[in-house]
Amino acid sequence: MTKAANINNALRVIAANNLSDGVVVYFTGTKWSKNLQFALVSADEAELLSAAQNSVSGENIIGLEPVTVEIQGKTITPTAMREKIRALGPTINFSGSDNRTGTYSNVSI
Amino acid sequence: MYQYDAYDHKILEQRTAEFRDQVTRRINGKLSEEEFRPLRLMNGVYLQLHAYMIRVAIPYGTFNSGQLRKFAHIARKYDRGYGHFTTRQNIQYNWPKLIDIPDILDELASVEMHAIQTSGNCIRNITTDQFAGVAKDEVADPRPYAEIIRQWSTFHPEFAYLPRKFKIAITGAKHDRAAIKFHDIGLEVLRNETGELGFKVIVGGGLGRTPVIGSVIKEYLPEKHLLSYLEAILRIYNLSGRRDNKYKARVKILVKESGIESFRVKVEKEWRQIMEEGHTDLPAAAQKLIFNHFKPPSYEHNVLPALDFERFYKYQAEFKRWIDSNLHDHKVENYAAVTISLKPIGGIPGDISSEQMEDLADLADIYSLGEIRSTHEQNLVFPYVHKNDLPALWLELKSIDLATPNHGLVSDIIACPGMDYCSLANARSIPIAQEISNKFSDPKLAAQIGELKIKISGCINACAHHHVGHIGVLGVDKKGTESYQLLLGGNADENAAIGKITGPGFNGDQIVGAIETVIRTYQEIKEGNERFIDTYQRVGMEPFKDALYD
Ligand code: SF4
Repeated sequence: MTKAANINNALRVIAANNLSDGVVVYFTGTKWSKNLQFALVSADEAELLSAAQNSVSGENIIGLEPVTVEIQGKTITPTAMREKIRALGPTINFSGSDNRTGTYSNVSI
Repeated sequence: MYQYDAYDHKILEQRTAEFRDQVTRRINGKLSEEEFRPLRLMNGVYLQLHAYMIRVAIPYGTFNSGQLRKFAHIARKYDRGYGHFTTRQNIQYNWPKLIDIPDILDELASVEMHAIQTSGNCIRNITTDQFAGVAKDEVADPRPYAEIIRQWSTFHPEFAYLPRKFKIAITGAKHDRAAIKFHDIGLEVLRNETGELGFKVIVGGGLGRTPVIGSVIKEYLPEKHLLSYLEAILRIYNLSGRRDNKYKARVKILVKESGIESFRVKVEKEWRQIMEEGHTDLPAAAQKLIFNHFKPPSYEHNVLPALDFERFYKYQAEFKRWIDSNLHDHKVENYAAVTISLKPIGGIPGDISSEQMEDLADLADIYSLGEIRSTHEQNLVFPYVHKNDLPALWLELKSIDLATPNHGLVSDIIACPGMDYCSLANARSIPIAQEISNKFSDPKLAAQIGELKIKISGCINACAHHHVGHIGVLGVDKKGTESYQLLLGGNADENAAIGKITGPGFNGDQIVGAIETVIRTYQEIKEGNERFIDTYQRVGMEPFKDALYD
């Protein structure tokens, strides 16, 4: 296995979720990171998955799943849109507390 | 509205304590993920694309200002400051931590709310007309019946492990605002020739992978037999519904495969047996108790000095637009039901911030006797607004960005969370809705186009009901990229129809242009005051197809 190296296609990383908060994490080779760019990349899916499974202690990581990626320069990018969104978050943003832009100003009677 | 008694409080208390224990045991490793998953689903907790999601039940879409304040508090304390109203009249939160969920459930229980039966193969939250109890055209308020069904079905041991989920909708009006023909069971409250109340019972409707318009199984069921008849249908389904194939497990497939006649014979036989055994219908005294919770309010009205409605309507164009689109006839003179659109131009359908929820709760207390409704079209409703208060309410709503005058118009789009949140999605829904909304942001253009229901689902599960959109959009996966099928001619009301696919799909850059083409074509060929759906029914698919694929 080579960390973020320029190797052939059908590269994989392992994605999963933290049990306690559900946050998406990636297997780095020794632990789990929220940052995809720290993920361990390999063309050997079975070996990668087995290493990831072995690193899971006390079942605090759940839903292990291989994800196909490409490496462009030094950046790891999932090939499928679903996984891109999973890595980067929703493509839309609900601005929550500061979304009140309405005013009385243009009301005249 | 219904208020919990000591027994209701007790079962909720026990349930949240039980789930707290299950979460603790899961975190401590005493329960495996496999063991825990069905338990969390029974409490409305899903694991989605980025995080856990909890879906909170809003029985038949009725809630009060205190409950809305609690939704706001939960969003702020445990989530990211907003909630999302769904097409099942529920609210869901997209970012809770599993370890916080027992606390969230305690908070909900303190205001008589929960997340039970919002997931899993059980009888789900009963949905109804958002104008129930106040609609001018209704025969009777359907909410007491929905409450009776809720109490009967909650934790019903026989129906806790159905072949698949089971959805019931009920309307009290002829004009169907609850899409009853697209539910596992649809009920219409009506009167027979002698004026007695009862139900038309429809069975086997549904959307998803196999859209089906439900069939009438009983033209008239006397009111008192509601529960025994539902029990008979559920029993036949429970016994004969397919458990071997998830995609064929809904009652619609059973009804389709056996035929409505044969299904009816089995149900009637079972029903007779239930009656002989000492049937399960609700005793009159218990029924009366539930009905007492739904007595019309006193309509005592004591608010700010009225602003001049006529002057506002005449001189304030935006107010006029809002009145023309968001106001609904009320059974009490001088009152109106008001839709509060959760579809701001370019916004996310169904989303609302904590601050907006709190402000809205205050406004509900002032202008709507403290009551709010959620709609299956992802909007909210104030059901008891005095007409004198409309200008003041509009000004207040406008100041918190909740006065979009678009109910039933092109930008009042139903969109599911899609690939931005949902782990099952094939494509994004929300950005498509936002693009359409921005494109048709001109209110004059929207008014010219008139009534138009656009519904966008991110996958075949059809949570946004795309099959019954006048214009429906379905996200599909095309080798890892998003693609969209376009459907036309669907209709969810009493003239139920399933939309037809126009032809080859469109990619994300093309789909909004395709919808524009459809709308332009409609504007070119419509006759008189025809709505989009009328024009489609008159001319069919061809002119739209020609315009899309020439
Ligand atoms: S329709 Fe599909 S993508 Fe949309 S919320 Fe439902 S399951 Fe998710």
